[in-house]
Amino acid sequence: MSTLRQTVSRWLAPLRRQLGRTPVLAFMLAFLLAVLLEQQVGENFAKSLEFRKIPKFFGLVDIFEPFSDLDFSGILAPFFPSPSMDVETPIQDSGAAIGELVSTFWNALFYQGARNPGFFSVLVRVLVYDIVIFIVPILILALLLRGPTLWVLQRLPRWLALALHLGALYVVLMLWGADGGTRELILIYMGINIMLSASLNLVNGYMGEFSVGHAGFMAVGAYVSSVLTMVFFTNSSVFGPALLSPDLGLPFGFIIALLAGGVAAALAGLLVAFPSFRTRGDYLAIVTLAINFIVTGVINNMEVVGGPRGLNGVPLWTNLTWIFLFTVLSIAAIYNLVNSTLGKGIIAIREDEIASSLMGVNTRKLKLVAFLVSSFIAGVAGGLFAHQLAYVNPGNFGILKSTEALVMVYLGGMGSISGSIIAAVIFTILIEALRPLAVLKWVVIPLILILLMLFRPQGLFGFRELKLNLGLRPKPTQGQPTETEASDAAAAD
Amino acid sequence: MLLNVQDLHVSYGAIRAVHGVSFEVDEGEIVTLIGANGAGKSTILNTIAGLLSPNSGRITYQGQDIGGLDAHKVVQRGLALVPEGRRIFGNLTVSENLRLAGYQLQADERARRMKRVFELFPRLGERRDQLGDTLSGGEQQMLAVGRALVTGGHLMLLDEPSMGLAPILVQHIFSILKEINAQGTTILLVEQNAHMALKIAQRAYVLETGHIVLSGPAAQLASNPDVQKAYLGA
Repeated sequence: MSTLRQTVSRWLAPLRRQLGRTPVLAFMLAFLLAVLLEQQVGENFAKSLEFRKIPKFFGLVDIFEPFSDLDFSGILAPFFPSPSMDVETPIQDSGAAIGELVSTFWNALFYQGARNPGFFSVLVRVLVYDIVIFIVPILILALLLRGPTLWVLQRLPRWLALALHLGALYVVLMLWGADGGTRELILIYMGINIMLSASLNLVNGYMGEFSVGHAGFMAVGAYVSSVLTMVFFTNSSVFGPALLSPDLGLPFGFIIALLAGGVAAALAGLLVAFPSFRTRGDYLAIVTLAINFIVTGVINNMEVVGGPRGLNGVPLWTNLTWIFLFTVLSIAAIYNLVNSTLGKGIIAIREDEIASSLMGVNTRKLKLVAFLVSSFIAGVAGGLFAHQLAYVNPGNFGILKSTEALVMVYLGGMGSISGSIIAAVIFTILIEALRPLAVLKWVVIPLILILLMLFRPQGLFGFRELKLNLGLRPKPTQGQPTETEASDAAAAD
Repeated sequence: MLLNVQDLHVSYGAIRAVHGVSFEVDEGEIVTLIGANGAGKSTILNTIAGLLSPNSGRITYQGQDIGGLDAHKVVQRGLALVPEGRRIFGNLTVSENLRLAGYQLQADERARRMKRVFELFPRLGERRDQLGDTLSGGEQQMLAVGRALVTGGHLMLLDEPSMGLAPILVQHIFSILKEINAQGTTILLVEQNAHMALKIAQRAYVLETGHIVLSGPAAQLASNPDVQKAYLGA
């Protein structure tokens, strides 16, 4: 076994070494070309693999589709029959349901047919599709492009090189992602989740507090920005005709509404920041939980915004460009904060609050900063979320949403921005991919979390950052670690 | 007079820990407060450093009232506390610990002070990239003192620097404290190890249950029969 692994890794070693020297930009450009390739031949190739259309999101969304028929309710239902149900012996009925479940599961794994292909069949075909359309072309093109991109990058000033990365990322996202369908939706949720997990990581990971009510701030931002855009820029049934012209809504109205939502969320963040001066740890966690409930409770009782029925008719303004813009800005803000002197102070509070105050760290001020920034970003994310759903409802921002944010932070690793980004990406894809499993999704995802805590409790990148090869010129100052792009990664100093 | 404490009262909720303590520290001195467990020594230091606020009484430093100031403001005046139990950042390296200690300083000033710490404690220099948790007790105490030096004490307050250390290490730490003092830092030392404390201090105060019961030159106290009986095990 080990010899096989050694042989394989020896085989792959030169390739890995070559790819390690290839800058990220080359991969991005290669991906761009692969996307063009997919646009040319993807449809036909997918059809020849017996897909009805191009696999969604690299096929990740398709793989679990065969399991969508699994019915778990039949197992327990006989034990708790409804009046209309005729159940003689619950055990037998339940047993029958289990039998049916097993056969459905078996069919989902193996059943071959044009309409209902089995899991393994889909998996193999998705792999073939991805390898032919994406993986192989990207590897080859990235290696070919390595020289030219390095040549260009080394001759550009740093800021221009970084801007080039962001620009390339944006072009890739727009060209591949802005399909107005599944991809765009997943990418939008991805951006929102990145903002949520990175901002929560500021408090939970960098400052070492345990905030469990992040969705509360999101709710404040979502509602405030929605009400603003509806009152001022939309003719809605709830608030009547627009106070200002609907033409002003994009882009200025939206920006202002989102920022106002962020400010409102930051003000709500004060409700946590002030208690945090006097209490911490588990007790502060309870405070944050309480604030999550207070926020949703207040909204539930505000008839103006629809109470528990929610607010309908929020303009559908969020798109990939907005998400890209605010995600990049949020990550840049958090990255700069945690790498600044203030950020060192925040980390010192995590390590030992008393010792840090003895070194001149103004712990109250830094707690304020951390909670304000964190809840501000959560509020903006909430605004984007509302303008994506076109409908907000207090139920969207309950403890489950807060838990999702926590899962992403601990999956990615505390005190790691790149960890939070990668975890948000993985988590979003996982949620979408496991959607066909319905209820089972909430068994599989916690299970993944339990396994993670058992085998990698520090998360994917606990207190470390992913280092990407951006192919930049090293900074003139000596002794600095390789500098990396703000939105991607950096050395954890 | 560098530090003057007048009629200080401190309590934890209803429990009164320090009642009516007055003492002073002059420029360039080493002064020690000795006393048994629970005498209120640490409470006094923590109050001076701003971690606790006094119920009443005056704390003046260089003629200015610092009683009730937040810890980070007290630090700015030039007092640095080496807290009980050292409280080093265990997940950070030695040099990160020291860099954080210079949180309020300009980079070049911080670098200068860190260099001085590495000169005083070559052991720390050897281990600058080691995590705080992996240091031995003595090295951790050196790091705690080093941090206070970087933070920039004109007056260094030390809370039980000998705690949990082997006698040889205690001697080493104390000889360095003497050296630091000779280089111009005034020291207020709280110790249970009265023997060592009285050896390096010029003056001493004896605390019992929140009161000062004896004071005077250290040598004189060391030969006082009561002190010998109660604190020096003679």
